[in-house]
Amino acid sequence: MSIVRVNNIKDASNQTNVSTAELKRQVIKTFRQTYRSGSWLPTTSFQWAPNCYVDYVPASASSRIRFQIAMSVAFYNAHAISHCIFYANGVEIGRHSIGGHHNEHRHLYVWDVASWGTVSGRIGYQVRNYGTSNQNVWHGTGYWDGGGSNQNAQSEIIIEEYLPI
Amino acid sequence: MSTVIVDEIYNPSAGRTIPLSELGYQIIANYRANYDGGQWNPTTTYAWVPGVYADYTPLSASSRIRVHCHLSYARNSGSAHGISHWIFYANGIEQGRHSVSGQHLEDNSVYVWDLASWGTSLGRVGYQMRAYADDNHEVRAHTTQYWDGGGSIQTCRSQLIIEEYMVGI
Repeated sequence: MSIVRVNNIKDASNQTNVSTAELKRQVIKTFRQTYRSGSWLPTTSFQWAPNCYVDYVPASASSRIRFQIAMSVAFYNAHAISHCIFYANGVEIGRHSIGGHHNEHRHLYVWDVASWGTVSGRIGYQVRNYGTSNQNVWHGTGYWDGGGSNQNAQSEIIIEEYLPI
Repeated sequence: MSTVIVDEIYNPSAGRTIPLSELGYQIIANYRANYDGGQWNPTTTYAWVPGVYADYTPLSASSRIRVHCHLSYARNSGSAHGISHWIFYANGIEQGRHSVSGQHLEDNSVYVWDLASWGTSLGRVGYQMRAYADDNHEVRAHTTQYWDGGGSIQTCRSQLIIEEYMVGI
């Protein structure tokens, strides 16, 4: 183990000049997951949505967790409504709906939460549909190529755990 | 003040040599805020959206500022076709504008803007919004219209994240 204590680091060509104070904010752990297993129709009870959650063990108790999810939601009934609650280690962080008439879209959601410690905790979305006549289908499409074709819409989760400045 | 001039740094515990050029992109300051203040009713005049703007002083005049605005919105009860107009400002300068509209539309969205620092003075960065019109086209921010089989207004948390970074690579 060797340590050199400095305020700045430069390269020989002077193209990069970094203050070591700027190095505090570091990503210390990442997680990625891709889902291609087809569409999911939520019920009218809240459930963990497939590929919208992860059981994650933070690397540090003093970090922050940035959870990013990109996934597709489409109408199943003409007026489609889903409700979403985002949890981190059993604590609700926030809630929102996804609704519209003949809506379909690939959504990006980002949540930034404090670490809950270095134990496994579930982070992600529980979802339900508003009612059996107002349903969205997740990870799918409503229309495709001139017809009503449900495509397998890939979704992705990225977690970046970082030490804040 | 001490400066080391090197092209690479070796981390023995990671077994990795890091070119100094990889350290050029660095976040040097950040700001985070949650908004739990409940629904907001935009009028037909542009106004700052609660929880979606901040008065921020950049750390550097040569950095860039990346702003993540994360918020929910819904139509107002009785307004089938909600339409809202949004303008994003940084230190008094419009960066861009867009609308959000639809029939019975409600969602949560993340909007990201990346802009040059305006210097090391205090400036306001974030969104102003207005509704297209009253009555049939009203919207609400930070809320839902429907919930759990009924017309129930939920309080939706919004998050604003600002990351100021140096562009070294």
